[in-house]
Amino acid sequence: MTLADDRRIAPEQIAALHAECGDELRRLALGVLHDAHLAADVVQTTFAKAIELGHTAEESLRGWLFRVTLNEALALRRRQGVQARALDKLAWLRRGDNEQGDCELPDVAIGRREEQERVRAELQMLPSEQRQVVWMRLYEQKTFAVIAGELNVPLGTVLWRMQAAIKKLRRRLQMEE
Amino acid sequence: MIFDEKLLFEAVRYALEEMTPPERDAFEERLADDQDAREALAVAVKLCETVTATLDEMAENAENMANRRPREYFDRSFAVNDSHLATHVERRWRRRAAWTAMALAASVLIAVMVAGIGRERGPNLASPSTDVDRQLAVVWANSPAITELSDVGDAADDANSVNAVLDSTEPDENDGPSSDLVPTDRTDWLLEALTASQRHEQLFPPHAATRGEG
Repeated sequence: MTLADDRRIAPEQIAALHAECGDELRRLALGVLHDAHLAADVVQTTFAKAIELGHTAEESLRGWLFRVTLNEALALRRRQGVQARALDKLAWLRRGDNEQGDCELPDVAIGRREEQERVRAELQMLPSEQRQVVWMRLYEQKTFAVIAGELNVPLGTVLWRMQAAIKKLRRRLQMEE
Repeated sequence: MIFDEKLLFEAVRYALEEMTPPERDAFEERLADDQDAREALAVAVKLCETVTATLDEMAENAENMANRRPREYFDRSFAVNDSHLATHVERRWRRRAAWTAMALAASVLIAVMVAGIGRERGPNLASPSTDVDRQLAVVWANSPAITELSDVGDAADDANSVNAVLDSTEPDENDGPSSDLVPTDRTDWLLEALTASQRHEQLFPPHAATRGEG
């Protein structure tokens, strides 16, 4: 065993890091790539690098993993060229969710269901104009500009309603975590 | 971690591709240097995933409800109408059955009455010519001349004479049964009967018959 091998992060620690922030890293990559398969590849590459180079991190290991994941995602996106623009621009959100659901553990699935229940409850409590913007943007996949045109309100109003709704939904999710 | 709501919304706009190219480049530069920005992007994606999945499920449930409720309503409505219809049909069937039974009974009664009348008039209708001939024969046989003949002459000859008359007589088809019942209309028969009586007297004088009886 070499000196470098001695300084490497133990496999148990890598596994604990994967359980702790693997899902967050996948979402970070997904936010950049908009492709679930590529995001999963990026996370795998990140943890492979963590095994090799994690011990060299000058920051927290969590921050290091996030930074490596972002850099890998941006690099992959540059290699892939211009992002493929699917007709369903938010398909990556649904596809990523479904693919994850196929292999997730029962307790994870239960946690996901509970999250959806909380989101549903919060959606019911939202003011109708905020709920309408959330519906039109995330379900009907209309841009904020289109929504503003259809509702005959300024774009800033639509953005403000969406931001207010996101704030409440995030608080509801974070409050339960 | 204390979230910057503005940063979170920027991350949401970045994830939803709602940024202009300069805004996107600026945000990606921030992502490279700011762990909060990276974590905000991860949270933004999670939020969008969860809300989208929830909205999809709500929409699916709404569609199912929209498809099921009218169906259930109509099914229930049809079930009620079916029961009413069944009751109505049953009542109508009973009414028709009663009328049919009454009509059948009346038909049987009429048939019995017609059969009874027909039985009373049956022989005339069945064989008018034969009955008329028999009646005429009876009338002719009971006529005074024939009576005298039967009193005087040979019974066998009398029978032969009557049979000969019956055999030689053709019934008039133009005459109805009621007219046939009147013996006075049959004058040719009476004339023939009288002629036969006279021939009988010529052949067998009254004194000879008296002598024979004595």
